[in-house]
Amino acid sequence: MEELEYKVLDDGSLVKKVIIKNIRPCIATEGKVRVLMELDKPLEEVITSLIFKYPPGKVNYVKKKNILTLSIYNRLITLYPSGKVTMNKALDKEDAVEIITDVMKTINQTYDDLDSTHEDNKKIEDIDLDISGIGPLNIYKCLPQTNCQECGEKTCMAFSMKILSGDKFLDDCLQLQEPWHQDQVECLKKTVGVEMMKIMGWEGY
Amino acid sequence: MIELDSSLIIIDRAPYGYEDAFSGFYICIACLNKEIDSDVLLLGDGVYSALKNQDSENALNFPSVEDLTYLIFPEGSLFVHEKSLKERGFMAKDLVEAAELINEQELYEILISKTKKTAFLRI
Amino acid sequence: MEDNSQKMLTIVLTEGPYRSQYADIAYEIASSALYKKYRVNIFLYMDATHIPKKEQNPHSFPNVAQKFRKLMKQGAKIRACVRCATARGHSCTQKSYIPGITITSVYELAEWIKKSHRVISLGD
Repeated sequence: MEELEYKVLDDGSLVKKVIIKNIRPCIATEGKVRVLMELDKPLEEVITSLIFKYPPGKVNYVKKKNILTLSIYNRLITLYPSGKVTMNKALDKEDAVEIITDVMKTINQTYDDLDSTHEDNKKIEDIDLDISGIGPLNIYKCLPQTNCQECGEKTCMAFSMKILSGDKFLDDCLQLQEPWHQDQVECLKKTVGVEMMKIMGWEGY
Repeated sequence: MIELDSSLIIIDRAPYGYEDAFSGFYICIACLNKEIDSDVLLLGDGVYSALKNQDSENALNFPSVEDLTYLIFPEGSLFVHEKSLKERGFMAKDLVEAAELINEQELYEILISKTKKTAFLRI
Repeated sequence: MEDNSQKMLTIVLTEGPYRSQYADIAYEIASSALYKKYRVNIFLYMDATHIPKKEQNPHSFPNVAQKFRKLMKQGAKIRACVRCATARGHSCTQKSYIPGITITSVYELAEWIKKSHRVISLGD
């Protein structure tokens, strides 16, 4: 099939265009299509920082190959250092382009942050610790642990699992907003860091 | 009722010379879309399928097998037999990004980890 | 005899008839399995999509299409890959096959794999 080029972000700092290279199956049964795309720049520099832009449960990083898979928008999106991107479960090419444009915005934001906070770049050795170190118990320790159910979950433990998978946000915990739970908020800052708290949906008081 | 829940597609012919590599990857993709775990094992001349920078579309007017290697990761793995690759004069750096080079021991581990519920298909 | 009717065997063929005898081997295996009351599926992939062409007239060899006709009478399900068949000129509209063969996508094979107890592939 012909490659199709889409110029989606005119003023993107790193990536502006996406080329659709391949769609399988071309026999359009099942309503699910796998798409192979290529962005106009390699992603080697930003992949390790992109990990921190999504909840840990949505991220799968193969350190040996610097390949990142995001489990978002009900599909798997895999980013390769070369700039190639694959997506499963796309409805069609327009749907694929729409979703990838969103991801490209995050890529560009991450690239901008890289430039401005060069000294804060985490070393690759630190990344393993961060991702695998954050489990539901770490989050649970920093919650009020009252099982009040105001967040919609039966227990604080269930809530902490949903936080990791990205299905609930820290702001859903109304108790955390109360001034007498400031210690818990500090605990979260120490455990996952302010940036990750924001990704987990913490907007502050 | 589900009897078999995974498949291993074994390809030992080079792409473009034969349709086998292309068709084998297709079966893997169909299995993955039907929620069956599926991996591709490249042995012998099959390892050529995992070389990067293939340009069959321009050179031969044939669809690219390299593109298909991208479409099976991450749900499926692409295993490349190291000995076959070295015999043919290639190295890890010549391979597509998603390929995993495996030695004899790792090949053995992969095969014994496959349960009775795996379909082995040599295409 | 044991009740084998719950068990399913799927055979994948990738070679055409007469040059190699994989179709004949598949016939023998499928016949035995059907005799023992197993359920048998045969998926025709790549050159094997030539196997069920009608009006075959081999001079010295047994007629492979007839063999497959027999298998279908005994209850085997035989499907051909649409991509491979149409590439080789056997389209659904042409009706170039013996009756009873369904032309379908490779997803059918994936479905069969899920439901089978054993899957074997025969080819070079």
